[in-house]
Amino acid sequence: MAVSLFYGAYIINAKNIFSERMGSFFSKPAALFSGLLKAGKLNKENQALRLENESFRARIQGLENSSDIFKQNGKYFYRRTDVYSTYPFNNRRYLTINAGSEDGIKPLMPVAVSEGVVVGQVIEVSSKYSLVRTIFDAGWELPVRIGAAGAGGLLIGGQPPKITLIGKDKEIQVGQPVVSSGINFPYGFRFGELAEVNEDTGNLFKQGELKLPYNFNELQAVLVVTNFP
Amino acid sequence: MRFLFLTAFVIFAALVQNTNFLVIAGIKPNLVLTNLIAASFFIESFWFYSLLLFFGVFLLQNMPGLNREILTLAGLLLSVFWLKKISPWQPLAASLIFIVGATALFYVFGGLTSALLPVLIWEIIYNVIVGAVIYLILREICSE
Repeated sequence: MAVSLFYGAYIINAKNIFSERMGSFFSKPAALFSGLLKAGKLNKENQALRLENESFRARIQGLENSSDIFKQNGKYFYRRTDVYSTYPFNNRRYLTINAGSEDGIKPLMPVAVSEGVVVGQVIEVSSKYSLVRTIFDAGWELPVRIGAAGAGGLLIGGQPPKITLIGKDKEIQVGQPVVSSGINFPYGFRFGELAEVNEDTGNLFKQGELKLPYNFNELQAVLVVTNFP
Repeated sequence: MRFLFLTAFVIFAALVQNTNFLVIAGIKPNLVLTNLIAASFFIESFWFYSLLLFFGVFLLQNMPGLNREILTLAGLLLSVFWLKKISPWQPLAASLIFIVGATALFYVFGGLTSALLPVLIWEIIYNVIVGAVIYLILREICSE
């Protein structure tokens, strides 16, 4: 059993690399088809977001040319890594990334999709790759704050993630940012924004859903915060 | 030749399941489950089926070692191989019924929460469609 697991690591690594290449190969015609379908529905907001993304990509690309490690505001260090494969099942609980202990990755490091936007946390580390638990894991509960007033709530993992235990007296609005306030992630790191507030009079608390600023199925690279916790 | 084709088909399905190629509205079909259930109706040898099962679930592993979902999937697919011998239905119908049951049980034993119920329903629908297509393809290939 130990021998098979030992050799299994190399085979799984090769499988992950092959899956990543195959995913990239198949994603090109799929993206073309998807783009044609969406062409009629583009609006100014999407164009502005794409321009913003392009500027971020340009900054990241420039930094990659010199180093895989860079700072944000002199406080947190990020390491850019590729997403090897998404979870093969629909609960989307995990990602596999192609950085491991040899790259300085350790368990509990936060994982972001862009600077300050969190998607999960490293939970297992191998020598060359790591497993990331995402906020879609139904068993995960994280304290959060909503909006400028900092209304407290609890983020429950799932599809989509939900925010519960929001005080009925708290003023919250759709579109307000939802940020981390617990010990798992740097304070103020963003999960997304509030969408669809439920103020059912039968409940003691308000509830809301989390709207993500990214498409999870299109993630090809993430940033690991290497100097936290 | 049929053995080679079935082996390549299962391996390819497992690799594709590790990508987002067939994701529709965030739902990914369980290609290993649908493939092996459909293939079980064209395989008599338990050892060959077990070999395909090993390839399929092993290639779904993201990390060395075994987790609950992989063990659950393997157990369900082995059960289907034996249950199909006593199923009273026509093979295509039996295949689709087993796909529905195996998908549902996979979520139950894998820790279904209310948050995943909509995902389960859509995955069952997707798996049934994919399973029917795979069964018809295998019927054409394996009947030659």
